[in-house]
Amino acid sequence: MAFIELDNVSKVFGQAEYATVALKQVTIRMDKGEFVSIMGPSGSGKSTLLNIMGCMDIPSEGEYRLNGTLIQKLNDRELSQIRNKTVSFVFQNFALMHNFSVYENVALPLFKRKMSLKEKKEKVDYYLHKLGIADLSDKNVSKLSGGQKQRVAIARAMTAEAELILADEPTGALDQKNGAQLMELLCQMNEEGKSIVVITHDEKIAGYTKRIINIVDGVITEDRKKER
Amino acid sequence: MEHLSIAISSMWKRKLSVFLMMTQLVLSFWVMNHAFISMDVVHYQEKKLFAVMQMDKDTTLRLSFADVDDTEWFAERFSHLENFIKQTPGVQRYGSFDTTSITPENLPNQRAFLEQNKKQYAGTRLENAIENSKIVFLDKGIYSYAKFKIINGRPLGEADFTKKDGDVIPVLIGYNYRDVINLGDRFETIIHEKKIVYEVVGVLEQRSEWLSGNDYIADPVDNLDNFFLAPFFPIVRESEPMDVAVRMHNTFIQLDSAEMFNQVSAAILEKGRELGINPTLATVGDELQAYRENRKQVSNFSLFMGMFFLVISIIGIVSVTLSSIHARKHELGVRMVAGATKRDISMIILMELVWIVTVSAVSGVMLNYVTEAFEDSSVANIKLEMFAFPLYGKVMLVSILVILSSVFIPLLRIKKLQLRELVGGRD
Ligand SMILES: Nc1ncnc2c1ncn2[C@@H]1O[C@H](COP(=O)(O)OP(=O)(O)OP(=O)(O)O)[C@@H](O)[C@H]1O
Ligand SMILES: [Mg+2]
Repeated sequence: MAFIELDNVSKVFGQAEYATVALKQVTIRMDKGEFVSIMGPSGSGKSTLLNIMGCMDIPSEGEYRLNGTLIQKLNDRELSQIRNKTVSFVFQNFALMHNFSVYENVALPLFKRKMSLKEKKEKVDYYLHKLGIADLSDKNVSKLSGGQKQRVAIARAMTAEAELILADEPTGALDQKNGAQLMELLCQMNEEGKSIVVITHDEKIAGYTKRIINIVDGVITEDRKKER
Repeated sequence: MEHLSIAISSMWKRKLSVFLMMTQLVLSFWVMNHAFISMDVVHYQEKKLFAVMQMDKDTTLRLSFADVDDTEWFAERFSHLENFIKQTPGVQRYGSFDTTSITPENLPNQRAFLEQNKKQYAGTRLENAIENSKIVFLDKGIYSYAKFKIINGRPLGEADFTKKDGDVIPVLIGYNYRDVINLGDRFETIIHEKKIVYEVVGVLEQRSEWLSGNDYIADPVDNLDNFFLAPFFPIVRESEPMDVAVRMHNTFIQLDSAEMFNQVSAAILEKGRELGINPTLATVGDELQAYRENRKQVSNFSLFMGMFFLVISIIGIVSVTLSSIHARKHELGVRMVAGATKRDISMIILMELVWIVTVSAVSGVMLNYVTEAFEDSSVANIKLEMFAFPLYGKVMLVSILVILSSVFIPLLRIKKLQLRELVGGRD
């Protein structure tokens, strides 16, 4: 049983003549610890695929199993549980809460976790240090640079301690140097055992990963593993 | 708990609009509370009335006169009417009381008496009249149905109400005088150039109460702790015109049964007309009804205003909350991506509203307390007494209604949020 199992997954937005088919019978298997990039032209369905993997959206057809659990069967609460504990997202736009402090953003996944305030603080501080942004802890995230923001987003993903990291063009808003640093971080997380899926247009970024899936018009056109 | 702390920190981030919204709510709760109190005062007064004296809505009547007149002519006729009433079949008892002041002199411990009054009157209108004490005079008919308890000495008895001119008048003292006046102490007052001698025979229980001599329904009962209480003495009983007149405000007739009303009132009114003094008779129930009607207009108006303000406030809350949800779409989306359910988001919004409404309700009630306390009205003290659980219960109920009606639309809005539209893409 693979960690991620998509079987003939399709996704259609809208109805009748307004319907857009974003994914067509996509089948993907991924094991724990893989580091995958998804490439493809704009509008090809990459984000849609990632959202389904991350339980933000559900397939119109086909089956999606994460860690053996059939996702379509889950209710809102159970899906939220998965988003909280099993999956973490990193977005191109960082998806931080504006006007909140770095600390508040990084501590976000710990909301509702059964830990004391002190334990939470220790965990958050640990990852802030790990990413070298401990001194920004009380700063409003709106005042940070792009590179700093993405570090906050990564710190948040780490704090969740989820097994699967889904990154939708994480370097899209970063310059080369920051982009490279971010990819190094993701590699490091992969080495520590996390499964990672990255969407990118950039061959160089894809070069960091061990497997590249190409998708065009909602159909997988290529799926190759690299020997490193 | 985490929902509440998120709610509070989020409100802090937009404190101005929260503050304005709360101001509106505080005013609404203030007016609403005022309305509740006005309504409660009526019920309170009614309850007191029956607690103080064994009255009955249908069988206790009050006798009054359209134009009271303090001439000897009128007093004479009034006495005739009284004698007639006492003998009318169906009348079980007849009596009156009068609340006034006396100036006791030659008390064994006059100085302690003055000290006591000075202490008691400090800061009131009576401050400069410490030589005076309030006194309730009453006759047997009323006294036998009052519910006074004596903690020391003896109550008034049958013989006390039939004293002759020159006799010593027995008097009961209020609880606060228990240490400055002893049983058996005598004092004097001068009335119509005649010396009246009183002798203290008993001490009233603490917080004894009696109907206001001014308006027995609308005015609060008097606390007798600083009062004296004595039977009408002969001059008053036997028609000094001035003194007869004072009794005519508070004259009560107790019937054997409600069925006797028509018969008794016809007889009394007939006799009154014959004497030329035109009495009116009304049951306590009818008088209460008139009072209620009168107050209702005032409290209904406040109630209407309170509800009007509340509805406006609810509309305000709903629109502010909706626009805050709109403005916070991104933040809420981020929370949901990180694992918050729609229920969590709804809880956060609900907590905000609960907090806003609760704090406003409490402030509104407190504000109203202050304004009622400063209001110069005979029932001001009663109003303050109303600040107790039944009132808080009503305010709580209104608060819950406000919360429920203002949370409904925002929650629907949250239900419609689509996670994949909230985050992702480019900013
Ligand atoms: N919520 C939606 N409602 C309707 N159509 C949608 C929705 N989300 C995506 N689509 C459509 O589905 C298709 C795939 O979109 P998707 O966002 O997955 O593309 P993408 O590969 O991520 O593109 P990009 O590289 O520009 O981010 C597009 O045609 C898009 O217009
Ligand atoms: Mg995309």
